Amino acid sequence: MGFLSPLNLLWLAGSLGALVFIYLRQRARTTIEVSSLMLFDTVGAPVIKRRMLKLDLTFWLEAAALIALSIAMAGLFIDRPAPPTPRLARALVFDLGAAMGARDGHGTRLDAARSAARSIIARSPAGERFSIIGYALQPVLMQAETANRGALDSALSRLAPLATPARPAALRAALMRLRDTGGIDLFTDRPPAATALGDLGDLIDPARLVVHRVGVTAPNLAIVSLDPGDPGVSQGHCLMRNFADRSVGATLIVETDRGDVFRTPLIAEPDSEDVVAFGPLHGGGLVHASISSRDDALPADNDRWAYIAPGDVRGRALVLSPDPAVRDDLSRILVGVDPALNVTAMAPGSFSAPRPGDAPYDIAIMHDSFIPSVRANASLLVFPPPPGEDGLTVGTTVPSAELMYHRDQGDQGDQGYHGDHLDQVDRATSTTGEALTIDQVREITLPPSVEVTVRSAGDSAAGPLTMAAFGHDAQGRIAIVAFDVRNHMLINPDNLPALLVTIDLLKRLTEPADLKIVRTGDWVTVAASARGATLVAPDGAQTPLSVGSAGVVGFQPLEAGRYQVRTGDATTAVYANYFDEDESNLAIETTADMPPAHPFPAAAADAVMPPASTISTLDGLLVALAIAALLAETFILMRDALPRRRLGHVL
Amino acid sequence: MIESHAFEPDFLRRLDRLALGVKRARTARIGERTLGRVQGIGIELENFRNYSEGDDLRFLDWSALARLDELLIRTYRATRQVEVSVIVDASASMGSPREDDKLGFALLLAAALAYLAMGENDAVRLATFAMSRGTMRLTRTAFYHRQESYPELRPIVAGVKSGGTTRLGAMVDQLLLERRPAGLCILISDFLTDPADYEDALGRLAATRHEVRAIHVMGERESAGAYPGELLRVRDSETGAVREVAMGPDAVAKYRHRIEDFRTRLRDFCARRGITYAPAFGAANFERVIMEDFPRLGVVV
Repeated sequence: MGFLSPLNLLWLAGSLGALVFIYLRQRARTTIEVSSLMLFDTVGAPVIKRRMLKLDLTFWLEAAALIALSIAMAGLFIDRPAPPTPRLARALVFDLGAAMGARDGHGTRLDAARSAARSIIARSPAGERFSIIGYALQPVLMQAETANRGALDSALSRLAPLATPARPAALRAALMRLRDTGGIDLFTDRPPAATALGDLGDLIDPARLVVHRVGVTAPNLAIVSLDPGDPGVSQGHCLMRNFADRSVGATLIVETDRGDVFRTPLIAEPDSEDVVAFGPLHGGGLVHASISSRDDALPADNDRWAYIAPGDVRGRALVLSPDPAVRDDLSRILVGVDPALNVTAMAPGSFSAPRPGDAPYDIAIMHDSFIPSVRANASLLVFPPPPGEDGLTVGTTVPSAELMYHRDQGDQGDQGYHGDHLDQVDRATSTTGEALTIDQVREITLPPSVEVTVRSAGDSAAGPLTMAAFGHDAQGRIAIVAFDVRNHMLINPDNLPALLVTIDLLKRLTEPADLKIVRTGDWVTVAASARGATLVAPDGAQTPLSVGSAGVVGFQPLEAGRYQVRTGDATTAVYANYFDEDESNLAIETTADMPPAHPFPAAAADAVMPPASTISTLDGLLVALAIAALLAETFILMRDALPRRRLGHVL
Repeated sequence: MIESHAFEPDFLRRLDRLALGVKRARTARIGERTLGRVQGIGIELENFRNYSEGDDLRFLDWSALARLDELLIRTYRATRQVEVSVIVDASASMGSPREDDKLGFALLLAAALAYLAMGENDAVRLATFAMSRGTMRLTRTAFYHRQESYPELRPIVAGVKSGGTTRLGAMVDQLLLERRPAGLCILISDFLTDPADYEDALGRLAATRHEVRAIHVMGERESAGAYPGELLRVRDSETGAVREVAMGPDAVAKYRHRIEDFRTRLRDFCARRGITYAPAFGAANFERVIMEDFPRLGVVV
């Protein structure tokens, strides 16, 4: 109960004061002039107390009317429990980052969050609605608003931690979506980033957001990177990170699909990084490193895959350029990417058409030239001349353009720089930019089957220029570099971003067609037949994928491990690696503004989520009371007036 | 203003049926024999009677002696020389309560009695009095004898305003200083003054052989105690003194009883002194007072 406009109570004081004044004035003796006071000798004087206390019924009725009207003006209201149905739903928001899968007790942190959520649901009144949202890279609605406890329990059971970090932007998007809910319960193992909550104050009442911290500090040993080394030549290296504040014993196992197995027992120092050398590998191929430890809470970052081309199978490569220096630079880079290639470099005019039956090249690089008769499983067109071929349209040459290359801070050194990776990184928030001005860039219009991987940063009449692209054509994979690489442009240390872009494309061209090694959360595209494809997740779940306009299917691996994309008779294996420096750190920091992680603050939700209530003003009732009081007073006055009139006639 | 009725022709026509009651008619000359109301020396023959010794031979009817050889004495209607003073209390108490219009009522009665006196060719004057700032203001008209002079009273009847205090004794002092012959003195007042005052005044008038009429005027509201409200602050119109009273039913009864006591005391005093006491309560009853009450009390005949 309270008042909407307490200041209007001043009217009450004023009106009551005026009423009392009028009453006392009316009650005051009427001074009349009489002929002589001697006639009143026997008339007694009034008693003072009687005068003050004699408040007749009309006074109280008028006072009641004024009080009722004044209180109505002040907006008297009462809180009443709201009916269950119109009450705003509460939202249960779950952090589904990789750390929520850490086992730091009897179950994972997500299990603890789930239990806490179930407790909140169980304590809530019947009929209260909840919605469930999970977030990691992006918010996902797991259960729309419902009061069905069975559906809520089922949605809670479906929650699973992902092998990705929980992005602040995803949390922010989730909270934005929930700004109209009655309350938000956020279950996470770490304080929400300030960037996620920074300016949400205008949209979300902080009192409606309850953060439930789950989890306790747990040890974690993670593989940061995996370098297979040069088969038969140099050792490989595996960088491991111990996030625990104590030493952790583990065994690093490195094995290849060609039978190499290396086991390295180790004791990781507290909060340190260790480089574990192995090999050299006898042959290349798929390399898998894993950690075996009984004192490790997070398994998602215990496996890592890498690929190194086998050295015993020599591939054939062709480099065409009118500039000898460019042929030399590109050949060196190509051999650096795949040492098992036999590279043939020549001027475009020296190339002779292959004879029927000749095997196609594994990769062909054509700089400032295009020879349609070159047959290769993969092609890299560098600074292609106009007008272009096979759907590729080459326009004018732009004097200069700015290449904006993004390097992810959580770089995976063993994978190099994939085009998809760059594209993803370009959208990421935790990136740094490095601009490079490049002379001589040709405007290229790509066919639908080829996607841009790097664009220029500067504005031009036609918008950002295509600086690099990757896709598929009739012969196989194709990549395009739109800028010129003469004058040893690629091997100039000042032009490192251009070299990295080129190496990224060469790696994607030279990697096996049926194998991809990506990072969790990356967008992965695989060439597929028109009938579509089927994605097999690491846990065996199969999901149909539809073919896009570029003839590829795409998906986003959110679990660490081996995915398979089956299309027609072909199967492409996609290995997703996970490591995030922040997410893999399972230390729980209790800040002053955050509740402790454990035990779960069972009463917190009730404390900050008061029972929903509705405000009902009593204006109508009060006005009715005032009218009733005035009517009663009118009746009394009329009743009293009749005898007086009769007396007046008599006098 | 009720006094305006005093000059209405209809009212005056009704008054023509009345005559001012005078108990004693006195001759103009001191020491002469009082002949009664209608007998005395005059020019209007009244009657004949047999001669008796001592009768003035001037009144012997010689013609009757010659024709009838009887001694008859002529009697004549006496010529009255009664000075009638109608004195109206014009103090502030006569103006309160305003609704009662006591002063107007008193002036109406005074004018009516003066009109009746003029009808008998008596010498009539109208006077008002009030004590103001220690000085008795006694305003008097000239003596008028004939009804044709009645309109001369209009200025004083219409122009008198109430004010001052009631001091009957002071008024009588000033009146006696005129050393006028004893006559009829009609005093119209509410007599709301110290009883000793009005007893002294009336007593001295009677002692100087004036025939005195005390007409006691009160208003309707005043006599009934019908004041607005129960809790009142009353102010004396003459002294300005204020008093708070609770006019409940019991108090009203006491109030009326007080008035009755006051009236009784005045009436009893008048009776003891041979003064005609005539109450005139309520201006609205002026017709009844003049036409019924006054004749009954001998004020008029």
